[in-house]
Amino acid sequence: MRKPQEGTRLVNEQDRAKRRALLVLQLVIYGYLALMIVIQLRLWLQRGW
Amino acid sequence: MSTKHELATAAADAGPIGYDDHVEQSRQAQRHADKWMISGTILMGTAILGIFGLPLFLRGLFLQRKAQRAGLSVRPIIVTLIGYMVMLDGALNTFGWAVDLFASHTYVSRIFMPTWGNMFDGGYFWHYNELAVGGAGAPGEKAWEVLGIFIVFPMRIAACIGFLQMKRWGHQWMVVTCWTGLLMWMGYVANMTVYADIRFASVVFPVVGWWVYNIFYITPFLSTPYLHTDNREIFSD
Repeated sequence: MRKPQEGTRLVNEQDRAKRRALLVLQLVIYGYLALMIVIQLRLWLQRGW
Repeated sequence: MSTKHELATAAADAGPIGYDDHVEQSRQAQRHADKWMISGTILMGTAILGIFGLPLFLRGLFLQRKAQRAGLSVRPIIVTLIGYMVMLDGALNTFGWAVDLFASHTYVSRIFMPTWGNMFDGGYFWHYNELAVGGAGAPGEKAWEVLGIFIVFPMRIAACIGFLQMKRWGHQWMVVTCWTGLLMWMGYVANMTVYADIRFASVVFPVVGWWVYNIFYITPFLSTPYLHTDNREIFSD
């Protein structure tokens, strides 16, 4: 039988993993947006709009 | 003591009351604050009347904060801010794009859309009203408009109504529509980049102008981590 503390530890670990995944996802999203801005700025420099 | 809200908050300050009275006073105070915030959000959602909507919204927010400080059980401020921000996002986009798709020959459209296009986004200037379907002529723009007007933004507005009522389905649909909003903006920004020659050539404020204006529309998915980590038990069935 599992001890009560073990259940709490599992929940905490799951919660930590979920928060880490959300953090990584945010970094990916904002990285993508930043990449698009950089590409557009580079095109602006190249073409002189 | 002219308003129901003031009566409710004053009664809450007065001393111990029964549970039913507390619930009723809280409901009245929330409803009163929501009337101000909904009116403000609707005005802001029209874009053109936005300047008149902001003070109404802030007044509603102030009333809710006051009720909270008086000890009434009103909605958490973070839920209010996320809910109304998403409602405003949905209303602004629906209104603007519906005008471009269905009313592109009206005066309001012919004045505001190409002016916006001239300043920030050539997609709303280049061959404006010259293609088979009027309005913006940028490649792919009409497809995004159809997706936004008929699927994504109505879903978002419906979700935030449930969310602001603290319903479980509102919370779940808010999560779903934040993801659809994310997908939509990822695709839309890619489209802007691929057709950058059309969107940014000869406009007054290329690239930076568009991003400064649109970043507020793009980032409502910032609330996604909150929605995935908050206490769902506060949203009732």
